[in-house]
Amino acid sequence: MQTYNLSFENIIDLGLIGVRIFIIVVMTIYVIYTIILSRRIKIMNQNLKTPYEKSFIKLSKLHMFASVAATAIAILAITL
Amino acid sequence: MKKPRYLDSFIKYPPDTSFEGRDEDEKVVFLIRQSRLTLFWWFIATIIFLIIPIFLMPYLAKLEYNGSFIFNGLFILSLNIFWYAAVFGFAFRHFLDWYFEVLLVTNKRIIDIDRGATVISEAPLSNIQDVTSKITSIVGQMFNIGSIVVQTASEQNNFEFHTVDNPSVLRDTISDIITKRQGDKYANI
Repeated sequence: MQTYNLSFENIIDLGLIGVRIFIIVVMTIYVIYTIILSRRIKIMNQNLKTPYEKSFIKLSKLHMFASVAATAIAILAITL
Repeated sequence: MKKPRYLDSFIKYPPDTSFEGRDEDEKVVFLIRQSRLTLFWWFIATIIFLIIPIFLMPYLAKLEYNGSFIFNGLFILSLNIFWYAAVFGFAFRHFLDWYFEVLLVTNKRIIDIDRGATVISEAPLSNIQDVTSKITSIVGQMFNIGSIVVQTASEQNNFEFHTVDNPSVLRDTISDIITKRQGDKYANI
């Protein structure tokens, strides 16, 4: 049976990979939050109609796009 | 012509403003929001959050282990985008909660839109028995900020709207429209 020597350096390396994965998990959860927020804005606009309705929708889409872009770049950064 | 101020905390006859279930002959007379002073703390927090990466990111970019950088340039870029998107999301959500939490007084009823337009309650003006204004805290007394309590004929359905500017003026204005409405109703008897 093949065995691996778990040295202190290996533990640090694993820890660093863990930190990067944790950051990406947080980013992914945030993407879900931005989707929920945009749905919520639709409900808000439906219940109270104001002149800023379209601006809020545009801002929520921009917010969602930025969070998706951040997550995609982070995934790309650790795979390269 | 005076430009309408959509972001005011008290708007008389708000233009282009409506709500779901509005009758054709129904007009929004007043739109009341919480005082803009309630935005102060998250505004300050947003500014602090915007400044943090200026100091934090160069430090993270320089972190090394075994002669190589822990976070490469692309990862730092993604962290920056994520941070600013999250700060924007934080500020945006708070702003929306403030913007959509309103007390609407129409020529027919009073509508309380609460918790980001997820809790909505209403009562016809004819059911309103009493309007009370309260200024309780020291901060409230300093800035003339308080609460309005609208008591209805129903035992469970009282409207409480907190941290509004000039609560006594609002109480008087709401009372006037209710008195007028109820006066019109009894004038026909």
